[in-house]
Amino acid sequence: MLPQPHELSEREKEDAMGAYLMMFASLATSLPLPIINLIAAVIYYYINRKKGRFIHFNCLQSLLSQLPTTLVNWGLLYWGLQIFFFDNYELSDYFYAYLGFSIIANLVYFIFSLVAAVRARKGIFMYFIFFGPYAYQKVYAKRNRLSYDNEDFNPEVEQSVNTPPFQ
Amino acid sequence: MNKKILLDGLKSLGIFGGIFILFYVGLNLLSEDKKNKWFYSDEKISLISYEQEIALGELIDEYIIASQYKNPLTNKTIDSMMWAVGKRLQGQIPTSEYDYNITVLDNPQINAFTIPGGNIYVFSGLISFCDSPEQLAAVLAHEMGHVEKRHTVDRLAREFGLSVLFSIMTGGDTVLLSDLYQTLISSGFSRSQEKEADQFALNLLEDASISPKSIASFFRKLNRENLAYDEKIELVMTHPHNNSRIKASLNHEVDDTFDEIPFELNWEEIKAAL
Repeated sequence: MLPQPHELSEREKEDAMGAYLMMFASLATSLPLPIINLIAAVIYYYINRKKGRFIHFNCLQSLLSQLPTTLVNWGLLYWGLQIFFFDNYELSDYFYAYLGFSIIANLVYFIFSLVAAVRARKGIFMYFIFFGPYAYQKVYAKRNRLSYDNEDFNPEVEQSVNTPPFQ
Repeated sequence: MNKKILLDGLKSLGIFGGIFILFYVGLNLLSEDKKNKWFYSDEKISLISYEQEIALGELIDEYIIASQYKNPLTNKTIDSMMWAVGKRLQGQIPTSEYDYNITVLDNPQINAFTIPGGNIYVFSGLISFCDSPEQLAAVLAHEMGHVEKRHTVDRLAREFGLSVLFSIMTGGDTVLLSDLYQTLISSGFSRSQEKEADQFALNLLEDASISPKSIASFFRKLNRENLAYDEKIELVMTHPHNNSRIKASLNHEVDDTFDEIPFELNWEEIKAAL
């Protein structure tokens, strides 16, 4: 059963919201090199994922959803540098189309992340296309063997995979 | 991962692929004029004014003549030939900010180079190599392309930074001038700059009633004599694709009104005067 907003603690809601908001701050600092935001997201994910399933879900969704935009931004940076700095390529319709596509992709990502942050603060689940269901499956599936700080130890799940060689 | 998630992934890929295609199609629906004006404007913003560039060029020119090539070739036959070729070309660039100064250096290299401010240097080896004044004009038109498109000054600004260039302009430091000179003759122009200079040369030659195919005949001769890949030839050192340049020159469509006017120069006599 998924937790309802009144069942989640304030701390859980804030940490879940942080997964999205942290990305904005790191994105601003990493504009010349769009990799710092990804590193920050990975660090945030590993620090917070065990705090609770709701936090884990939102951290994972935030981390996964920024992978494509980071790749798109890297592509744009590389292409732009080759055109304007190294003069290896020329401006073309393809570049402008890619630029427009990148702007839209970043805008969509920005809006979705902002809405997700607000909803996470309220304790409401928001599923991004593709990444939402995937993160849900990873976090709430039975095979997820992470033990969370706010959950009791579950021996059934814990013992179902690894067993000693001789019993 | 279940089917629904995969389907979601495919859907989002489709949506974003569609956005890219929409932008591309949208761009192609624009008229060429609007597209060129909005996206491919040729106007470049340079932080170095023409006056500053010309002043810098004078300093480098003084350095070249004083320290590098102390023997510019001055004889009446060569001077009048260079004047005739240079004038024909420059006459077709009425909006030019430069007063071209073409200097012939007594050196067997098949080479020509340009420095900021409209100063072009031609080695006597290049003149000997050319079969006709039209071939020489083709090389000069290419160098003028680098000048008009401000490639040399852009390259120096990029390599040294504006503050160093401004300090040279005010101080004339010979060590720095030597560095500038070395950069100008060693590091080549980018491929897109070469292409831009080539395109400029093709148009200029046509405007000057010189066959744009002269570029092709020059590079064909280089290829024929197996000199195209000789690293000593700085003129072609940065141009690894001579064949594509020959093709571009041959494919350049001249206007219906184009009428070739050959130079009235005795080329053999000129070569003998070198």
